[in-house]
Amino acid sequence: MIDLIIALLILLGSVVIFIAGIGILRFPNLLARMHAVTKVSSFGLLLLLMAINLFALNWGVFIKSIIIFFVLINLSPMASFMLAKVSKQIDEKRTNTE
Amino acid sequence: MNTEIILDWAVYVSLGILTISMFWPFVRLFTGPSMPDRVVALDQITLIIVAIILVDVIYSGELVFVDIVLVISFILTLGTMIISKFLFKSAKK
Repeated sequence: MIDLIIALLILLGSVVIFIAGIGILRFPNLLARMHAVTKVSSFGLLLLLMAINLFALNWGVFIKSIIIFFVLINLSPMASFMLAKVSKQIDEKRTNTE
Repeated sequence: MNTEIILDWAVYVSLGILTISMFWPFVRLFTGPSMPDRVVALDQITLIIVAIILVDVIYSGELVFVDIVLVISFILTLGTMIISKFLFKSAKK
């Protein structure tokens, strides 16, 4: 029974990351692409981490996966915010020179 | 017995899906109009590699790879921050 839940979580997580990969190619501008990468991929990795915790049933893996989730939820939006500030700076510089 | 076969096939199918989904960030990496687009594409490629390692933990049964995922996720976010800091400095001039 637990194998079926693990299989469902793995397939759902990889399909979510696949959809994020489509979004990075099809979305029109940089901010929409950043939205696809940051939120959707973090959700897919959360599903995969849940699958690993059900597979291992180990306290060390649980604590490590909580640290990975903390990094993905808190530090990855910070990096995306700095990148958005860079793109705003580049756009302002382009409009000033024209 | 039967559910283990289902888990094996789920691992194979999800590894295939993740390998195919590495194609679109590479297209964006080569044809991206500006530099932040390429950084976002590299971010996505590293996230897909992390997902492949996480599926490989279930495939091989080795729990050591979770440590590798921890280190790679730190390096991913810090690398994106450092690259954007560098781009911010070079765009100011």
